Amino acid sequence: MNRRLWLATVAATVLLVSGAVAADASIKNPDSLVIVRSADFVTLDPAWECDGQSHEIMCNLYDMLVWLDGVSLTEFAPYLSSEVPTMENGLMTLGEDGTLYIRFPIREGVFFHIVGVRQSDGSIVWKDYDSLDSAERALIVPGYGQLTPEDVKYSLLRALITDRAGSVTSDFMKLLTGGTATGMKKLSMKLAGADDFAKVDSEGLKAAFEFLDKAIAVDGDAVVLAFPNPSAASLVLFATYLNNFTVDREWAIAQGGWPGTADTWLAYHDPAVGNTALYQTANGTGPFKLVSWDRTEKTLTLARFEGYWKGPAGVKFLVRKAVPEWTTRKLMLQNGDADIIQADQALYPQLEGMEGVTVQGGLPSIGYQNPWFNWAVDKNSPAIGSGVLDGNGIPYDFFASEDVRKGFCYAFDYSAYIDEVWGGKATQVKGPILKGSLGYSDDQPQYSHDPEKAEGHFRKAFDGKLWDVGFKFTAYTTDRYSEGFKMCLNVLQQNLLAINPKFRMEIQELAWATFLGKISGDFGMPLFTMWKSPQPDPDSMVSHFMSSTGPTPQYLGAAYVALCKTEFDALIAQAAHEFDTAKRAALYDQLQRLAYERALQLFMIQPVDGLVHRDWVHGLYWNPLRGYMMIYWGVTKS
Amino acid sequence: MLHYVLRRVLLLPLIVWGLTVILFGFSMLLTPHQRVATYIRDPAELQGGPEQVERLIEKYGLDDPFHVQYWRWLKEVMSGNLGYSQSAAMPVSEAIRRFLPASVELALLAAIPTVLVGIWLGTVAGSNQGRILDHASRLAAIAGLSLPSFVFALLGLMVFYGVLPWFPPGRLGMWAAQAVNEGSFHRYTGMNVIDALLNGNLKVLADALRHLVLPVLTLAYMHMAVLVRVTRSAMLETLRQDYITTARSKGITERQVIISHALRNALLPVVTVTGTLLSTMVGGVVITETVFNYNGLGRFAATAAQQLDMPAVLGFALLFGTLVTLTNLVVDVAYAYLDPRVKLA
Repeated sequence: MNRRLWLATVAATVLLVSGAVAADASIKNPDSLVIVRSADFVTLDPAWECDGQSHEIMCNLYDMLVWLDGVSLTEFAPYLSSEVPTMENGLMTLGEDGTLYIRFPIREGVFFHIVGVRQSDGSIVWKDYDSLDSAERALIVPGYGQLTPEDVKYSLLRALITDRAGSVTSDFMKLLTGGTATGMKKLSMKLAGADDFAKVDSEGLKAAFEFLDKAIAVDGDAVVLAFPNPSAASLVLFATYLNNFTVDREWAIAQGGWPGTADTWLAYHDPAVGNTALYQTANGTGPFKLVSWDRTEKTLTLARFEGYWKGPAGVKFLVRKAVPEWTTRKLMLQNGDADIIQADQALYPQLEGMEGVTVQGGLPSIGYQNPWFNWAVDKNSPAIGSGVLDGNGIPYDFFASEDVRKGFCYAFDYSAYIDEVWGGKATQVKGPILKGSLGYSDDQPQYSHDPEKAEGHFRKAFDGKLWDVGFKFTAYTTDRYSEGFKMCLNVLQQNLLAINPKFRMEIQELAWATFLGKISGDFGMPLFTMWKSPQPDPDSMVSHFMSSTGPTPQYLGAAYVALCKTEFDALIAQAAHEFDTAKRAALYDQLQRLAYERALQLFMIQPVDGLVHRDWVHGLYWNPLRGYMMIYWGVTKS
Repeated sequence: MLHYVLRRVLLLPLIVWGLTVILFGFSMLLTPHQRVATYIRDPAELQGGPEQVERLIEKYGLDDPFHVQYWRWLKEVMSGNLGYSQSAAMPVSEAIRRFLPASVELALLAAIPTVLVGIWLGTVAGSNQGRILDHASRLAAIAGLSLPSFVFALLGLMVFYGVLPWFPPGRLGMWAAQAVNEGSFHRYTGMNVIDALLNGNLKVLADALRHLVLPVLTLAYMHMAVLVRVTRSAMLETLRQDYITTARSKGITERQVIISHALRNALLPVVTVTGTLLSTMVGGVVITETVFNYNGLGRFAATAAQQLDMPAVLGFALLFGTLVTLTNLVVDVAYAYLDPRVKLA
């Protein structure tokens, strides 16, 4: 009897479970676009985010004023602004004092996902716009859910006062202050004439707010930005600035967000990630609206916003999951449980030929993949070995030698790296200015794999001593880099050994925390790689590597910064403020050639990326700057 | 016995506190520039240069002395706040509350076959030494012990999801997850199987069970192998005792000899091992959870450790330390129950 009961229980369970198994050869989840990434995103707050994972979400929940038009890097399309400002249409004007005024006329008839509806008792209740009938829509309170210039201004200010550590609001702040301040505290100190933020009083705090309040003005149906000391790239830099999303002002305040007043900004400044009012809620004008964020299952569900000003999106739901394990992601794609997955380029061979799957590799991306020469390593760093040129180490300023740098530049086998690691699809870069950008031309010089020239420079370095005794140092990489990124050091290592067996570059992979400790703490890395994606303007590209105040030089030692000051800063400033395109191009060409002549860095390749998706997904597009952070409005499944 | 139990329970806070001091101490061996990695997870987030790092160190007090940082954390804990987990993007207490049911569900479902089948198979093997049953069970146990869990899990996923689309990863399918998140589905425990039963939703129940098959089988097989070996050894040892010979000579059946006389004594070491296995199942099955995309405590703890998310690591240590201590206490009490010779001091 017991055995029969046991068998019956097992049989029932099997039937129950197998009944749930769907034998389905058609499109899975036809109403939903399922995107599976390797990592979770951080926040839903558009003023806080600046990571790619979160930005992908923002692009679909919120809109910007203008945005890159499809795949273009130079043309913009109007979004919440009804027109793209240009000098020609008069929406960009130069004041007598040289201030650039950019006017964004705000599009009418745009609604947020959640709107404020007047009730019979006079109160305002926030409701889902799609769920309202025409009678209720007539009761939407002005300013409570219909886009206004005040919403745009509030959102821009909110991002600036949030200004969390590591955010990109510094880019916008520099535009508004003419480069004299990078954040709210710095602005407060500057206006108060204080050398320490602790010395800034309430009037000083207020002054900082009032400065921005004036620089971002509402004028009728438009928002006007004032950029003192503008550059030719000002619009591009603002338009591609990541925190340029608009929330509904009244709704954000109702959620506990910044009230929008001068005397309260400090309380909302630099919050921890989970401490912002909009951390796990959203109300934008974008093509999708928030349904749920299950942080336990790392799944975000968005639903189509039927009231989107451009018309409804192609899919009903957008579901984003975080699945760190590669095999699991691959199998989900294979089985159709995922429509788009994240995959490292090195893993594409596992996907090519998979039935029903499209692999688009070799897509260009704006960015660099090259090791940086550290011109002044910490003298106590174990990476430099003995610390002297005795064959068992290098001096701390090893890479301050131009001959050493040129030797490395000629030693690297660019073709082999591109062919073997990138399948021939990456592009060698000639310098900081990337292909397709103003200032780039095909006839600019670039380093090539030339062991003879490499040897020539190495023999000259350190009065010939380097060639005789050799060197030994450690180059670090980290587990957070892609495999393609790490391989460049392996190729370089072999190339150096082939030139002189005494040239020993060891490679050590560090856990991210250790790596971070080395680059931010004691700068103990002679040669290391970092990641940075510039904005699609040559000013951003050259400033990154060649400006004394750029992010890269801060890591590379005083000698590097001094060189930037003496040789590049003036030229960079001149190019930035040159509005004649031809003249501007000539100046950037000059900077590009200088970077080559000085062998500033070991510029290797402009990396490529790709898209991996099921065949039944249509409408995906690839913008080299945005990459996978695309707007899914036009995507369909069929 | 009550005295003993009370004493052990009262010692628990001291044990757990000691554990947190040790863990905190280890973390302080890292420099502030290393510990800031909790707040900068990826090179792409390092947009602000060295200044960004210094700002974060100052903001979170990472360069404060050990006792200042520890006291700051302890004060929060004593007021019921375990801190914020950067890796889970939620308060630590909330993270534990969310991830614990998944792990408990998996552990409970895996524990049943692990304990029942493991002990049964080990008993059978031990009482049939040298015969086919013994060889077969030992072979299965060795395979389970020597095959890495990662390999077993991936093989299972590739066969039963990749080739035969029977058992997908995750906890629920998309439609079931949407059904569960709807207002009409009430969350009682956070365990999908139990909640589905309590809501009377057989479809969600079936989907939840379907997603549990592979992780449960993986866990059960890995841990069963240990129990089979331990039980077999214990049975062999016990069956050699004189009182067993006496029992046989009295003429009672072999089945009675094994169940009534041998098994109870053989279970002593098995109980110890079982306790450890069960507590490990709740908090230590990172690989199984990762491969099957099953978001439980193990994965949460591993991610927190990897990202140096100290509040999360310490919160998990508090929980796990308590769990292990209580499990050991239960094991000790069970020991005393099974063997009257054992006196709890």
